[in-house]
Amino acid sequence: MNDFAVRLRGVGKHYPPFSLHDVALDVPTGSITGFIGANGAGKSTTIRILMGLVTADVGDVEVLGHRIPAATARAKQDIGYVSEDTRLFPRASLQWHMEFVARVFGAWDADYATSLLRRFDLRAEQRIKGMSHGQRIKAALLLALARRPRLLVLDEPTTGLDPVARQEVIGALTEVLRDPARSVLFSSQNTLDVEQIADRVSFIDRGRIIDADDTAAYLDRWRRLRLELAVPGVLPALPHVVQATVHGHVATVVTDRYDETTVDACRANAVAVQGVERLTLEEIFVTTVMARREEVAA
Amino acid sequence: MNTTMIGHLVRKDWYFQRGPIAAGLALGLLALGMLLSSSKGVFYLGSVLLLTVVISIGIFLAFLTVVQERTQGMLPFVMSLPIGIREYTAAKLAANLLLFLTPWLMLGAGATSVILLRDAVPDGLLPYTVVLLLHVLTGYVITLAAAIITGSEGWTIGVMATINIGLQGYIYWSARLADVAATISGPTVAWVPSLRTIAAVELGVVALVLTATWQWQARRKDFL
Repeated sequence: MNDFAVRLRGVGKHYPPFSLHDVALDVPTGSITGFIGANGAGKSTTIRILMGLVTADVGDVEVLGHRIPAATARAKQDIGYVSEDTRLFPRASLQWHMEFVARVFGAWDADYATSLLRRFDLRAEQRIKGMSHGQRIKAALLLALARRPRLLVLDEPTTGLDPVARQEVIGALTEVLRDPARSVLFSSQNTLDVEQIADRVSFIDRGRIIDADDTAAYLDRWRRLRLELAVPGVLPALPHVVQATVHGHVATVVTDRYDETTVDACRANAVAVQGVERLTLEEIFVTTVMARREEVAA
Repeated sequence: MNTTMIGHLVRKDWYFQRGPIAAGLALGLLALGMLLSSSKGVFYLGSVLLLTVVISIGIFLAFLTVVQERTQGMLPFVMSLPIGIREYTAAKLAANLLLFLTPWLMLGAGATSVILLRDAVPDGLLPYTVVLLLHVLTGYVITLAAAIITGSEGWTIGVMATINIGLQGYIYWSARLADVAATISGPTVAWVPSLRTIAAVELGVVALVLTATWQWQARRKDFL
């Protein structure tokens, strides 16, 4: 078995005025990898490249051990793909879609499909035309999940859903995705969704992967420190500071490598640590993006 | 190439388009019935209706099976299946040719039968009718190619409109070719040189457009 369900190296694509640059993305086998980026960051383009729908100008793409785009059709035998803009055939029922997908994929699990129907509160005989957006997304997810794919690629499946439908989808996904044999790549601009289900995260901004790590490690190593300065307005040099704001005696710094030595470094510089707070994934993402943009601008 | 998947996709298009095809065939049969009328006016209306039905079937097919699948967002679902661009293109070409040629052949056979069996209709009209049906087939294949290659409603409408605006001129021009005009009302079937040439050109264009569409799609780098 491969260690990675998805492995992209040095992938580039130029779509004037947008470009993907030197994208390296790994989805370890059995992981749920969140792929976070703002609108237009390059998430969908990257996903389309690994699905063989768009060909990279440069770089190597390997999915489930298959080279893409050469072996796209073979790779897709084991991929379930749902994107925000996926629509099913409006004049047909969900039952027709289930039968169609079952004919295509030998691994279709009818019992699992029935249990997903109940879990997603869907009716097989209902026509797609009469479904709400949330129901359509859940129907598309059902069709992707019940074929028992080794890799599930979800491109912003919760975008456009109302909060209740979004929570329903996330809740259902959290339940059904806990399968060690299945790898998942889940793209979203909603960090809360990713934080709930992903065990690994990659950030993308302006066509570049700017960071990647385990979700738990991210949440663990990023901290916001509230400091009291010895000299007003002067913040001593501290290690691994990503963002800092100073107002008189008070400073707030964000570090991406917090450990006990961080507090020691503050004390060594006569800076009193008033408080240490964890950051949400959203705060980490925004700070990473802003720091990266400032670095590029400088 | 995964021919089983192509078969699934062809059957899928057949399933969704069976209604419009049946409706087109019903209207076509009505038109054929009108061709049996002794009234020249009804006969003329029947021929116009028959031509309109065959052209409309082609336009509907290109829009419903290709353009609408893309513009209404079903393409990501289709492309999530184990196929590549080549399988998709092969399936679209096969499904469309099957869906179009079925009523085209049935209604074409009906029209030629009326010409051969009715004494009031000159047999000399048969080659011209066949060439006209080939012209409709050519127009359909070009519209289908535009739909597959561009996936755009605007481009497909533009190509389809251009072809059909030109139809009146084509009929006017071809019916007045000297050897055609001399035989079209005659009692015997005569494949005069002009009609043989036009038929060969039309068949050549059909083959060329289908091949070019296939080649274009096979080299395409970006699909969605």
